[in-house]
Amino acid sequence: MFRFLLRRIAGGAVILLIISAIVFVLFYAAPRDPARLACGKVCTPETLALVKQNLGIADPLPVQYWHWFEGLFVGRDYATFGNCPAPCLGYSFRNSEPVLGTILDRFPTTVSLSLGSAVVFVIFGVGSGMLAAVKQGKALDKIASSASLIGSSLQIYIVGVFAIYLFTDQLGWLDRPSYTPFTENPGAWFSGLLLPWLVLSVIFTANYTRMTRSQLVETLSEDYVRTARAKGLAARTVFFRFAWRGAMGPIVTIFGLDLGVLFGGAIITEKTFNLHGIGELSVKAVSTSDLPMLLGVVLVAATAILVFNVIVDAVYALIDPRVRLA
Amino acid sequence: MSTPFLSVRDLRVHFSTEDGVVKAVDGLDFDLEQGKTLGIVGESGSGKSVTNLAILGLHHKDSTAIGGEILLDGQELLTATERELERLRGNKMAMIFQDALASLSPYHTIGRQIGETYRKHTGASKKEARARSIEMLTKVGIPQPDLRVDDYPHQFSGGMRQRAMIAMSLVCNPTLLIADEPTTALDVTVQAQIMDLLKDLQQEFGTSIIFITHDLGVIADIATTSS
Repeated sequence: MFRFLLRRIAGGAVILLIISAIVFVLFYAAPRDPARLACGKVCTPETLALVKQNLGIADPLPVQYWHWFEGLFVGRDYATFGNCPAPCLGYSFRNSEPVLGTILDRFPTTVSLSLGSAVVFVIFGVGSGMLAAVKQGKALDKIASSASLIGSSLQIYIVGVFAIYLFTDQLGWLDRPSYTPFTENPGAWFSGLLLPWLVLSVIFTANYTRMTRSQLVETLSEDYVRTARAKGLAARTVFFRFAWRGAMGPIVTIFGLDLGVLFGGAIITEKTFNLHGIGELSVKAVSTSDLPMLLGVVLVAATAILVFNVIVDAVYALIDPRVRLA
Repeated sequence: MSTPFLSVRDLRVHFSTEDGVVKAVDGLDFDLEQGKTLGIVGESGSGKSVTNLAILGLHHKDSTAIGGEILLDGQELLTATERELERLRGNKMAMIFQDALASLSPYHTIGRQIGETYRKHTGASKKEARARSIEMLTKVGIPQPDLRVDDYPHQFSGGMRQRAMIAMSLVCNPTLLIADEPTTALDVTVQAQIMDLLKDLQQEFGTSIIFITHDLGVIADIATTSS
């Protein structure tokens, strides 16, 4: 298990390296010149060169990449900003803020949003999927199946806007979405994020209902489930210990991937509810040609996915003894 | 003649499908005495397995209509509640399925799967159940049972899985054992070993066996009555 984890982590580091290199290359393949943007309206070649020098983009691409990469481990000295201790992700081209600080500042919002909605969609999605599978073919199953079909075809930016209008503006049941740090005021944290959680989890809930139902319908007809019944075990035991155990693997896998993607920023949800998380940051970094910020955000998003992948693999081995030896 | 231990009268099992009603079993009668073996032979799809799933009450309740009567030791099974059936299954009547790999849970150790039947019906502790599992594995001839008890089904060979399956079904000394093609998936040598094992165990425990197969040679070998 330990060697397995070590191997996965080493592989993950290589993948991150490749991703960062790709972002670097792609950034310069794009026709926009960040120095030109920062230079202002009256831009002489001399100022342009100076700006380039200050941004650290005057060097050839491999040298730039090397400086950036070096900064991660040993820190970096800037002419304009002074020393940036390791791990240094550089300074934003746009507002000269340190990238790492900005990301750390935004990350709690994204984590709160992701984890909160994950709790909602796992409870409701998996729960209703279980009910639908148990009541297969009955009215409850049909209701759950149709509701999830409608749910998964909804769009956050429509549901979100409508939900704010209805629950906040008209009925006044829910607070206007905002982010307050949990450590500052847990109550405000909860009430400010409740609406985004619910809206973000609508589509996920629908998908998890469908997935849980189809997985369980399959495992419930497995021979070993019939054997468990033939042994005289109670229906509840058969369901949870055998059928659910078999259905869990694929659900955990998808859940890990979804959580990884959410940790990289729920762009549409953050935009809809005006929350300043990683997703919003990444959109801004792209639209303002802010290379250091973009690299930082991409690395965070990729790391989140890699970390959850390793967790999923470890959990899968716990669930299914057949993959332990492989 | 003594009163039969298991008596099936006018059993009808009908499935409702999209293409209409399928009469899988229509008016079946048979009796089975204590300690005897009944062989049921028939081609695929002739309702052999369906009959026996109906005895255990494992048929699909929503799409299956069952008529007639099944008396096990004087108790009517078709009208029994789910709770009553749970108490009988694995305890008084047990079943060995054809495909042992698919029929054993891949997620639990062999020992746990044998032991949980025992715990359910006798209220034994985990430790007792484990000891009982080892005892049963020894009986069905698994080498090093105290080690193999912690293995998972995928770590067993085909013949060993079927033996483990038999150990699991016999763990509570059932009076009725339904063996649904227990040897079909195995090669001939292992097949003979399993048959011998079943005969030995039947002598030891006085179990009545319903033996389902499509192999007439096997039936001639084991059955006291065939239908």
